Amino acid sequence: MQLGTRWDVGAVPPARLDAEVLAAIAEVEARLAPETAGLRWTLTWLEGRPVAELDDGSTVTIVRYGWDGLEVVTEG
Amino acid sequence: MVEFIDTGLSVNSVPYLTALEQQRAVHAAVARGRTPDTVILLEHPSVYTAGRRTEPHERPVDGTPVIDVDRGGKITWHGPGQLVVYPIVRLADPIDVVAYVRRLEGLVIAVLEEFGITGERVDGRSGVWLRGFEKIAAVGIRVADGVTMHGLSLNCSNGFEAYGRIVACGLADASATSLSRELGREVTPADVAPLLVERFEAHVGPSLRSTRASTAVPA
Repeated sequence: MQLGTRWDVGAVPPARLDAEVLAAIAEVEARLAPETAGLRWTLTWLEGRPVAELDDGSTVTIVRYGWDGLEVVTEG
Repeated sequence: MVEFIDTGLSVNSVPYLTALEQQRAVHAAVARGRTPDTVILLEHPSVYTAGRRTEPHERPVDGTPVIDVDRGGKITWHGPGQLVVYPIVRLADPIDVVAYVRRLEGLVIAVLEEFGITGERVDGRSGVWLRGFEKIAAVGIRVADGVTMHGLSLNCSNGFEAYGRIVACGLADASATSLSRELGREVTPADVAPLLVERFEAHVGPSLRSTRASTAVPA
């Protein structure tokens, strides 16, 4: 059983992610660059849906499926 | 344009979960462009809320219930005498969440100045502080679809017993203070709310799409 996966910002995300999630991750990386250099994404799964989180120490950006489909949330 | 709604100050305080439902409804409306940017001002009955960064040892040790919420930050307390401000506003592109948090802190610092109190930011710690280690205002926010939720709480005339049960904001070496404690006289949320409303757009406006659009100068 795999609980989570980590990868560097800018690296190739896990292949199991669908195109919509990959596009959202790329958009977040482009928006936050260059402050994201050296940071890593964390991918977990909740009820079969992916949850990708990027924590920069002051904010956490989360790509996941919500009520209305894929959402990008930032908490700070 | 930003609308300000006093949904319950003083004896009309609003339960946390009731206010959360209202925040979500307003958020959905602002995100769909059906409602202008809206700032909700209120007080809550006594409640602990835990943000994403709360760790187990920071929670109350006596079994007091805690509501886990979808905002950043640590555990904190809300209750009577504390002014709670929830701006539900669309951020300007490119969205800069940290800048928005800093502007909320700047707004509180400006309000404190009106009372002759010098508030300050502390590196690595959100919120507004006095003398470097006494917290007077907490900030914790969430941005989805480019629109904010949650916001800030400013200690006005609340007591401090509730802070003793938690590691407030995750800081074992810090304590809390209030406007009333600093001034030696009672200053209530209802006293402070108008000052904050007056200064909101001047301080937070640069983060808002609506304010930027309305003040934009043609090239």
